[in-house]
Amino acid sequence: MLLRLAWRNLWRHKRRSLITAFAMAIAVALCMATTAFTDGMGRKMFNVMVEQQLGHIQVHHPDYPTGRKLYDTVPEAAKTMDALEGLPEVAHASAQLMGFALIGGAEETTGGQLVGVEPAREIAVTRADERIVDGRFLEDGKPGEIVLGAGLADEIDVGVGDTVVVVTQGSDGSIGNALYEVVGLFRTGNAALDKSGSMMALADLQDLLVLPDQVHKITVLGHDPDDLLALKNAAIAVVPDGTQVQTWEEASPQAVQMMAMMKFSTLIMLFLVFAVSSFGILNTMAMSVFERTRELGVLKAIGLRPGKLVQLVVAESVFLAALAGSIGFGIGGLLDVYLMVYGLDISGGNPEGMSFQGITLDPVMYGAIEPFSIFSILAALILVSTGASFVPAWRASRLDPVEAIRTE
Amino acid sequence: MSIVSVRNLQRTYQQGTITVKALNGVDLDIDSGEFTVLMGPSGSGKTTLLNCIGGLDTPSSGSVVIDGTELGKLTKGELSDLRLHKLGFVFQSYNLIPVLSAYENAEFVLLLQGVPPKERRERVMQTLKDVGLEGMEHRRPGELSGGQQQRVAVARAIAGRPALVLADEPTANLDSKTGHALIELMKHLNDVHGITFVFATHDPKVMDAAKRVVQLVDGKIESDDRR
Ligand SMILES: Nc1ncnc2c1ncn2[C@@H]1O[C@H](COP(=O)(O)OP(=O)(O)O)[C@@H](O)[C@H]1O
Ligand SMILES: [Mg+2]
Repeated sequence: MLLRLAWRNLWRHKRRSLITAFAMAIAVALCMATTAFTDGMGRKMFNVMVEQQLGHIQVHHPDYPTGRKLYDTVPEAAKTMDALEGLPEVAHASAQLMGFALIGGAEETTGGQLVGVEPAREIAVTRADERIVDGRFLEDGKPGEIVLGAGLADEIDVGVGDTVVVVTQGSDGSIGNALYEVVGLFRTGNAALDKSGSMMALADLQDLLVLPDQVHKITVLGHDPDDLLALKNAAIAVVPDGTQVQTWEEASPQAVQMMAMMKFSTLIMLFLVFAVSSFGILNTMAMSVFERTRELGVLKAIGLRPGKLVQLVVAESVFLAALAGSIGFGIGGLLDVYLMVYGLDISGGNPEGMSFQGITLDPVMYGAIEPFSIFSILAALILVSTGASFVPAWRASRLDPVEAIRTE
Repeated sequence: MSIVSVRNLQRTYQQGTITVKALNGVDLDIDSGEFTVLMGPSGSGKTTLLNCIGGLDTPSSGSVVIDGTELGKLTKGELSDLRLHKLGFVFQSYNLIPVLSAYENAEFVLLLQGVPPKERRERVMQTLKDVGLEGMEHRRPGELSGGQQQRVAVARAIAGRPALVLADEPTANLDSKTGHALIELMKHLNDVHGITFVFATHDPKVMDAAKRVVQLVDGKIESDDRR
């Protein structure tokens, strides 16, 4: 009954209610679109920054992250990889061996970083093949191949099909050198990496560096990115003694900060939008209570308890919010679908996309729907609508019926 | 046994520096089934007295007992419930809920009282019939004349089967013919259903209908005639 009354009261001032509802609906829709966009961006960043670089967890020698010494390695690499991949929590794992070398073409030579990988496993984790701009990525079972950063290839003036010579010092102090065929060039968007990076088969680099069956880092992706601990504990059980397992959060506090900042800025924006729209509701409800002073006084006089009067006024604004919410979620949903399907071009005319802290973001960013964001918006809407109506409702419940009825 | 028992009731209002004695020692007993008219010139304290009896106003001193319950001892919530279950109100300007139909306005009190749906429906229909509004159940107040609206107000006041109906100048906004008809209606309800009415007016013509006339002057009862 109170609900029916509240619903009808809402329609007394159609225009005012609709305007308030639409203003809130737009707030909701905008919030949805923006969170979809930032969530999309967040997911992309998580994907690029965390999953493709750090992995959900990584396995390394405890001193390797700080010292980057050649001989701080994970031993028994092949066995460890098999064991990791055998874990039910693990989706993919990729082992990497790093080294520095002189890389020379026919005329020029430059210093570069060598990364040894197992091609199929590496692709599964880092999607390295997607960054190939010329030729192809390494393939399993094809030794003697190398892919170069596009900048590096430029510098030493080689292209796909050419041969490069790699000279480096092995872990035993010997000087190793070998020839490799350039099968592809890659561009990551990270200028430094493109200018000095190169990748070859893990076995080739292990030979070159004299580090048999050793790697510097194993990057692991789990099935559930939200349960890093289970993944980590499972991994700890199978890696060799003296090896460290870190979650991406432990491995890169900066990445954690960046992800948190994105979430935080979204929340700030949500807060601002709803702070503004709460004034709209507050205003509408205050006006509607003020106009009905006498009527509410009558309700009180005939025996409506003050608490029920509060319910009546709050119910009105909850209806208003529900109306705003359904319109807002409707429009917002459409915007979200658009963002997910068509995305938003953020390249600003730069076809290589936007680079952010060494990470290239695609020129077109796609939206994503995170339950957390939708839930936040919904919670904010409910909170704002009940909160903003509470003051007018409380005032209504305190009305003196005698005074109220006298009001002409 | 009296439904209303007012003892040495005083109600003073502070208007700036002057103190207005709206009620200055009123004693009054009203029995079940009475049809009492409070007469008196404007400003004599009729409204104040009705409000004190109805638990809407708080006396400065003295006591009001309704059906054995002393109002001064009740909390606000208990006062609300007492008004809901024991009292009916008819105000000068009809004061219906504009977004509810005649039916729903009358039904409102029964809903608050928690009367089950079937009984509720029967009682609302019967009450509307009793006040002569058959066929107009679904009209909203805006679609009814002043006299009809006041009948809805009467229906709302009596639908909950109160021990007592308080009506403050219910005919003041009506022309004399419509006003007279309304008084007749209330008198009829009093005769046939035994509903107790107390109503305030300063219209001497209304006196004729009353079984008991209480004359108020300057916040005091000057005369009390039963006939
Ligand atoms: N809220 C109030 N504040 C100050 N004075 C009041 C108030 N209500 C009533 N009065 C005064 O009390 C007296 C009685 O008023 P009221 O009961 O309304 O008389 P009536 O209904 O007979 O016209 C009047 O002098 C009026 O001015
Ligand atoms: Mg009066």
